[in-house]
Amino acid sequence: MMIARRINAWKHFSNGVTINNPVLVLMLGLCSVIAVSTNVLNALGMGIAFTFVMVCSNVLISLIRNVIPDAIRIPVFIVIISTFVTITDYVLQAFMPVIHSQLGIFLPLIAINCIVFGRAESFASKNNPIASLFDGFGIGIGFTIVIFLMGAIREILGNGTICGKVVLGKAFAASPIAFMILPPGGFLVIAFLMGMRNWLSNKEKK
Amino acid sequence: MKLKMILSLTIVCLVSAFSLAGIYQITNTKIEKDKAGRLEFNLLEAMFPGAKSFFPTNKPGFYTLSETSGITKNVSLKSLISDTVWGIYANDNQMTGIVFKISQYKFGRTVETYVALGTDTLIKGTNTVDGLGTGTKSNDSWLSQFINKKETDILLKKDGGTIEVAPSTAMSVRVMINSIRENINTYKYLLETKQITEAKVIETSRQDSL
Repeated sequence: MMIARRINAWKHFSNGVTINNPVLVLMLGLCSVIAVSTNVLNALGMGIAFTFVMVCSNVLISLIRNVIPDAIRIPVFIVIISTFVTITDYVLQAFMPVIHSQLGIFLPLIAINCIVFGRAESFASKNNPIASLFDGFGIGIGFTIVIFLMGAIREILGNGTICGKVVLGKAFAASPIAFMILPPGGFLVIAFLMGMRNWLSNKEKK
Repeated sequence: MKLKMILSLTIVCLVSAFSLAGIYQITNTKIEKDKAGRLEFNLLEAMFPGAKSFFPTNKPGFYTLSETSGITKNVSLKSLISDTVWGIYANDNQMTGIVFKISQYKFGRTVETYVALGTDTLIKGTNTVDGLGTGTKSNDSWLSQFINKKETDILLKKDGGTIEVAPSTAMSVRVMINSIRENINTYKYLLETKQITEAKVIETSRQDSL
C-alpha cells in the first residue's frame, strides 16, 4: 500500500516534469516564459514564484474540492490562485525588490496563467491533496527547469555572461548575439528545446 | 443549494481577505521604506548629478564642529539647521553642499520640496516627490526659478524678491520660501563661523548610506 502510494506520488511528480511538461508539451503560459527568460536570475525567480503558487493552490483546491459546489468552482479557483499570487508579489517586493522589479507585470500575471488554472481544474479538483501536491510540484519544477535552461542559453549567447559573470571571454561579451535576448531569440530557443525534447522522446520509443 | 454556494464563496473570500491583510501588515512597512529610500535617492541624484556620496544628517559625527562655538562635538546636522534637513552631500573628503526637505500639510496632503544648497549658499537644485499642485504652472518650471538664487532673492516679487507666485497652489508659497530662507541663513552662519568644516571620509556606498 505504502509502496503503491510512493510510486503514484513519483509518477505524478515525473509526469509534471516530463510527459506533461507545461512549456514543452502542453505549451501553456509561453508568454511569460519568453518575456522573463532573458537571464538566469530572472528565470529562477519566476520559476520559484510559479512553483510556490502552483503547489499551494493545487493543495488548497484539492482540500476543499468536496465542499465547493460545482457551479462556483471557477470563481473559487480564481480567488485562491489570486491570493497566493498576491502573497508572492508582496513577499518578493519586500524581500527581493530587484527580482520583483525585473519580473514586473509577469509576476501578477501568474494569477491568470493557464497552467495553474488547467491543473486546478483537471487535476487538483479531482484528486487527493497528496497527489495534488506532487502534481503541483512536478509541474512547477518542469516549468522552472525549462525557463532556467532558456534563461541560461539566452544570457550566455545574448550577453556572454551567466549570472552576470563573463563566461565566453571578454571579446564575446563586448559584442554578443544581442538578438538572443530579444523576443525572436526566445522563440528560437523554445523551438530548439521543444525539438530536443521530441527527438529524445522519439529515440526512447524506438 | 443557493445558500451553500453563497456561504462557500463568502468563506473563501473572507479567508483570502484576512490572509492578504496579514501579509500586507507584515510586508508593507518594509516595502514603503524601500520605496521612499529609492525615491529620495533619485531626487538627490537629480539635484546633485555629480555627487559621489550622500549621507543622512541625522547621525552624529559626520563632520567636525568648531570647539569655540560652544556646540558639543558630534551633534547631527539635522539638529543644527532645522528638523527639515535631510541630506549632506560630500565629494571625496570635501563637503560640497546639503539637501533639506520642507514639508507642508495642507488640503489633506503633505507637499514635500527638496532644496539643494552648495557651500556658496546658492540653491543648486529643487525637486518634489508628488508634485506641488502649482495650478497651471508645471512643477519643474516653477521650481526651476529658485536655482542659483541667493538668500536675499528668495522673496515673492511683490515683497521685492524674484520669486513668482504660483496660482491655485496646494501649499503656501510664502511659508515655503520663508523656510528656505531661514535654512539658508542658518547654513550660512554655520559655514561663516566655521562650525561646519569638512565631511569625514566615510567608506560607504550610496545605497548603504540610504
